[in-house]
Amino acid sequence: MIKSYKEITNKYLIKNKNRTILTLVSVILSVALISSVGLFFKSMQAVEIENVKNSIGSWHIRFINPDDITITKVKSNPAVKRIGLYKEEQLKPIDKNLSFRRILVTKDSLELLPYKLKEGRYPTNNKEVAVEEWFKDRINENCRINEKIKIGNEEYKLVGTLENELGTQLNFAGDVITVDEIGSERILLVEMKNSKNMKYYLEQLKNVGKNVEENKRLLRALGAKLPPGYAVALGIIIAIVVISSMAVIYNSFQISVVNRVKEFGLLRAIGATPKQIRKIVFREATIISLIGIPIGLLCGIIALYGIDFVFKIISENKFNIIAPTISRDIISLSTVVGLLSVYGSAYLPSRYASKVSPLIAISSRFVIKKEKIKRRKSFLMYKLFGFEGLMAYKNIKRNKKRYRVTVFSISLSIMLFILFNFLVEMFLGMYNDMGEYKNLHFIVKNKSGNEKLVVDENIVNQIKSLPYIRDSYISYGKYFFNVLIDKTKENDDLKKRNNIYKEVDFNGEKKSSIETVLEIYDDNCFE
Amino acid sequence: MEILKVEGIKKIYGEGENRVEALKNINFTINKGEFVAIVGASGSGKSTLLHVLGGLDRPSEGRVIVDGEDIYKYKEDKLAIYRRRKVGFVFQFFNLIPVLDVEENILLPAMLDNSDVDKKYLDEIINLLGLNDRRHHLPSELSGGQQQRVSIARALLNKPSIILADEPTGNLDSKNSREVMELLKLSSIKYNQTLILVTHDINIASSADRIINLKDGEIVSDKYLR
Repeated sequence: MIKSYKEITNKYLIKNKNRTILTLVSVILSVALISSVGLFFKSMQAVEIENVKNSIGSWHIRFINPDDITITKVKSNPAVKRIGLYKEEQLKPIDKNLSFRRILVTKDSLELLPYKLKEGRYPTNNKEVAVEEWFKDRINENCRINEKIKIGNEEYKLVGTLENELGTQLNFAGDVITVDEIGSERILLVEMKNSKNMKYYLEQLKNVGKNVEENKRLLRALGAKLPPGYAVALGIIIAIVVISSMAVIYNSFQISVVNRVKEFGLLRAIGATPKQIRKIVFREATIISLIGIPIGLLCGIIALYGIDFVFKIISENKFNIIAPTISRDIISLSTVVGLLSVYGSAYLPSRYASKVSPLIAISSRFVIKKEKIKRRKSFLMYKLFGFEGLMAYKNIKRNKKRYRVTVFSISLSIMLFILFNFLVEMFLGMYNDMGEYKNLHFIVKNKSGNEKLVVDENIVNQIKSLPYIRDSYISYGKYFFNVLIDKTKENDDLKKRNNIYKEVDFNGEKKSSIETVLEIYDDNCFE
Repeated sequence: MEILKVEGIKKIYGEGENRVEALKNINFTINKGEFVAIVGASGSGKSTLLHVLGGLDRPSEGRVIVDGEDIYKYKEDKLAIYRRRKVGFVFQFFNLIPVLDVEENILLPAMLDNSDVDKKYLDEIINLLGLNDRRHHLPSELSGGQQQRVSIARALLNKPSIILADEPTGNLDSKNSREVMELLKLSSIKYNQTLILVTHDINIASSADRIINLKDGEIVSDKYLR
């Protein structure tokens, strides 16, 4: 025995399995689409955050040479999670190809810096050091933990080795981590608390002291510095997904309601209020949501791991493009979007159902509407598609409204296809925008900072003569200088961006100065 | 005792060239417990009149007073409650919900009312209408006569004071017609209900207490048979 009139809905859904499944599938697909796209971005973000933390550090902003008052102020700021002081000393040469720099750290700053201990421990006094593995090998391959190591003119005790970093190796300059008196030429690293208003607190904190630098890559990865364009793009994607899934779900609800017009009429006749009729339709939405949304979320998560799996195969497990992250924000956002699209789609059909006249159930007179059918000449349709085509054409013309929704759904799905195609292209393009540059197999360059050490003609010829070299390209480096132009020659569009033109006084005349770079290549490079 | 009073009812459909006056100034009073048959030719307005009495179709003019209250002064929700509590409908097309079984269809009015079901009364009407062995059949598994009995049971469930029946035997053979009419009369006597029935079958009409004859939207005769 049923307990409530609303159970009509359950019975109806079970009896009309095909339609129920269709509606469920469209809900599942849209929720899965939104959640997987969201989770995918979150997972890319997680990789980027991890990369930045490993290469730059987990600090958000840093103050260069702050005074004690600034440090106290920063420390007491409620938005700050932790701070750490450290000092980077000047580069000192070891030999003509290798230099080093002492990094004076504290326990606090080590947690905010990108160093990762590979073996041993961090130093605790100025006689102990930890260095990167490559650097240790360059100085003394046989040196082990807790043995003496000579760096420059000093001898230290090696207490730990660090994971190799790319930057230090490119510059042939090793970081020597040690603990010593830091002094007033120091850097204050600040990690902020996770908060939705991080951007706001960040701006506030920046006013506390002078010489502030942001960890731009980390802030961008965290989304605190998200350019407005991205948010808009994300909004548009979500809107398109929502509208297209709503179109499908709406269609499905509308069909279900239209099919049951007589039933609703009957319920109205035997005393159902319009509100009760709406409840019957909304209950359908509730049941569909309760089943469809969790399955959709699950599919989204499965899709995320599927993408990860494919990426792992493509990248041969060498690097992570995404780190599957199941973000609560994305799950709740997808749930809300799913609920909105289901209930939004059910709204109009429920209104329609509640306004059904009770007479529809009773009198056949109200079922067959007398339509004004215009006579149409459709000679062309007849010629093109024959009699069947003519009938189809007339039917479409007669039920314009119904076909509008169908046409709308088709256009939307094409639009979705193009959009996602574009997104995938864009995503792949991120790895392709280096152009031909990525086809180079190796680069020989002078990065020691020593002006005398150049890749001379001799080396170039030697490389060129190697049997396995097909082409070589020479880049002569960059030259930075300023160009002075008349103020009248300034470009209006560029003027809107700050710091492009600087006003200077040249021989008594006001001129605009632009920073300019000249990059020099050989002819081969331009091919 | 007067239960229903109709005052100057007019019902006009359409406008301009399509304007049809379905009911033209109808006036009558019906007492509690009466069995009234409304007869007339096709298109005479008898069904429209029944819909107006049942709160299904708002009249263009005039008042329908039930138990001293003008039902068309009610808002849509209260009018629905009037249909639910005061009136029981039996239609020509049995109008059952196809996904609900016999018992569930009968229970619908109580469900809409959120009222507790009197199990004893439910069993009583199910037995009265001979549906006991069909309780859990779907409408599609029943014959026409059986379906009509289900809709009578549904009309009786909320113990309405007025039963409105629109050609209840219109789709039934003569044996089933007789049975359905017997049941309607029996229940109206048993529960002291007013029965208003629309028909064009003169045999059925002749079993009523009173016959109201309509022609072109007007009452042409109003006779008491007994």
